[in-house]
Amino acid sequence: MDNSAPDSLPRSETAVTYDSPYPLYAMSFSSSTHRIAVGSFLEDYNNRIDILSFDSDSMSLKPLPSLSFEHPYPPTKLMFSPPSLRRSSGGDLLASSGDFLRLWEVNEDSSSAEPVSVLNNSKTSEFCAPLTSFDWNDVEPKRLGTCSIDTTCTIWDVERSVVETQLIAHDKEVHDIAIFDLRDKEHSTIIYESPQPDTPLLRLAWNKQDLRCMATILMDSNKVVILDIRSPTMPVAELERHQGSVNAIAWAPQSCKHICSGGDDAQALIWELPTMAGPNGIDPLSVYSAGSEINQLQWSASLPDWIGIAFANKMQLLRV
Amino acid sequence: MDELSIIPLWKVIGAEKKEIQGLLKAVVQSVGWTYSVFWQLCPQRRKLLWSSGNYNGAIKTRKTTQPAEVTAEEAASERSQQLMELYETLFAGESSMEARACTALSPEDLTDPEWFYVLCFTYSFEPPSGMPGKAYARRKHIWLSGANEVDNKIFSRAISAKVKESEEFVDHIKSFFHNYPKSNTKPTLSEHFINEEREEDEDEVEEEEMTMSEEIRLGSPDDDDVSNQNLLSDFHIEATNSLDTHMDMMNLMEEGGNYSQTVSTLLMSQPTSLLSDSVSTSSYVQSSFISWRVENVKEHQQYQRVEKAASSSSQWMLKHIILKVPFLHDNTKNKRLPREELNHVVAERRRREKLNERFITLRSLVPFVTKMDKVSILGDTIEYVNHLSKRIHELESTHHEPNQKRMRIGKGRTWEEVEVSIIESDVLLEMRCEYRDGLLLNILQVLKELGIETTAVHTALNDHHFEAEIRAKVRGKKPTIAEVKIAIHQIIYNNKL
Repeated sequence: MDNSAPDSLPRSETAVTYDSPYPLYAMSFSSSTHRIAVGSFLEDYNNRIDILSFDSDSMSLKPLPSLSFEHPYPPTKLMFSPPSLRRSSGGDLLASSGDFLRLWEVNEDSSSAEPVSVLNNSKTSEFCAPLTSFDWNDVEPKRLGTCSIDTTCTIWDVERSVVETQLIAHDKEVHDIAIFDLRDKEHSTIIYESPQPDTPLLRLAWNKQDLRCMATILMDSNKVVILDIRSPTMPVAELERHQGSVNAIAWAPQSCKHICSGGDDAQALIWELPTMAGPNGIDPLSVYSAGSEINQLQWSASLPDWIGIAFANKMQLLRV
Repeated sequence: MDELSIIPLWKVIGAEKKEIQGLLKAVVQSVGWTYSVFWQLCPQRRKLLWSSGNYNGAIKTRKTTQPAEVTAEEAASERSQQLMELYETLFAGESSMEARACTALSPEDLTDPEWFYVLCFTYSFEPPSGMPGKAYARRKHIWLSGANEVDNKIFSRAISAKVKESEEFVDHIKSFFHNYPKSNTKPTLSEHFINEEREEDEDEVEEEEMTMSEEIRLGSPDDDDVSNQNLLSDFHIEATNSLDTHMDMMNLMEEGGNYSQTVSTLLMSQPTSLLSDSVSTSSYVQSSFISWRVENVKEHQQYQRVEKAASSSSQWMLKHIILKVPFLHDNTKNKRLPREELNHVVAERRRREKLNERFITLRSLVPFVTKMDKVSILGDTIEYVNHLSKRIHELESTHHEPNQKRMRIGKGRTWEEVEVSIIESDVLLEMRCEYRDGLLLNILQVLKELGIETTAVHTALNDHHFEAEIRAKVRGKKPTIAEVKIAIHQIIYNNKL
């Protein structure tokens, strides 16, 4: 009759899991339907992108085999089009980055996923510099920005499939890109430089609720660095409670103060950013322990009560 | 396990409160259930109110002033007392917070059953509604098994009790009560849980008849988190949205009025600490996340990032995706990239940097720049140049006459003019005066003596009229505009001699 402390009870009954035959990395939530795209991570040419369907009533994640398609080498990022982009056919538009930027149409009636276009940003040859990441502009959904190992970032107009601008602002390979305002493409400011030299910033994320705020993670670091673009070079906060390097970050879609991070310590931490930090730093609100290192984390506005994580061969939806 | 048993008592027991307390305690401890509560009828309001209770269940954080060696019973009664005090302080509001003793409990010290027990304080039942009310009205005992599956309307405290069944225990207790009417018992019965009603105008002490239908409230909620989805579907506290507690409270109001009001009052007065704990200790929301504990920090302090990261495969997949995977794509084309295209890229970037620099210089030279973008800079510069050339025209034309006049007047008055402007380290010198051989050289020399390095010279010579526009950079100590003007004037004056 005596019960143990609540924390030690397994919470896995509340998480919805999908077991994939291969390790997963890229992941994206659709904004219109309850669909999730996952990309495989196999170190050979043949990789796949699978589309899963999430049913919150039955708490299940089912793959839709008719919508699975091939991709050369692992996709470095997957992203569904933002809600402001409505396709005439009613289906979803999914973009993947790898050797090129490819657009796929995922049909409403789950019949098939068709490639729409392949975008190559190299003017000189037919080979494009491989892309490390990209981001879709929420405000103007026809615009999409990619970043590449050749130090450039390219802004595309996906409706006309042409390049709008190319930005050359970095000295080395660009790892991630997040777009908000494309009005002023001329200026770039160094917002943050990592404290140790030669420590690249690997991923970054804008806070969609408070657009002055962004978060970034460094190579081999267990810190999540929160920046305010109004005070460049000085981080607003450094969240340092992971026991391993941080691999992925996602802001809460409906709160400007909450962010979730996942790392090599197999933990996903939810943080609330206070207005004043305590003397010992900021502690997270809550934690989830996965089975192995968490490689991907997504928190979508279409499913604000769920956080998606990818670790090993599994993709899990955790209820917040 | 969980059962609730409510057995009505119409028998009057005129026991004192302390006795009741003692009875409750004995009763609950003997059978080993979690708590017992005595509901007393308040005649004015015709309601059953919490009168006395004893908690004997799981404890989370023990806070006691007594030495370690206490019996379980004493510990339990002290705990009950502490729970009572906690309830009182919580509902007394924040003003009383400071006065609490160091051994006073705070919300995060409670397990779920304790929390349920505390919340029972707030309940009142108007017969025949509610479980105790029904038992009272019917004068029969009510045995509620599987309290977790009961509709909220029948058992309105189900929402705060998370329960789970255990078959054997149910049977055991059932057998208990089947045997119960037969047994002859004393007041300090060990078998019975007493939840007595007392009618105030009766004052009998009939101990031996206590065995007849008593109202008993038994309960021992557990907090395994297999709780009733239906009941909880409307109840949603999000730990992550502590800002929105008000919104969530609105959802609560529909379901289980008293409970929700209680919780919302509590939460209003202590928003953050209570909220985050109520999620962890009560788990009403089926969150996959559990609350953060500070113990984790100890392990963290042993973590050394440098060693671990370097040796182990930190961020393996992320690094691979960013750094290795892109190069998996056709190797031949990648070998080309670094040489040709990167050079081009670098050259392009340098050109752009130069352009930007020049734009900034231009902006600093033009006096009335309104906006900082390139288009405006160019536009303003064009205007300024036009203005200047117009001015030059005017000055030249007007100077022709006064020039002649002046020359006629005498050499005391000259028409020379010197304009100096120094912005940051850029110097602009405009002058006109009468020409003499060696004038320009003297000017440049004196500028050098002032620490000004000439970079560009534009001169014009018409009819002994010398005009010069000199651009320069300051090297070392910056001279004042006055100093430069004085020096130039000196030269002109000396040159005339």
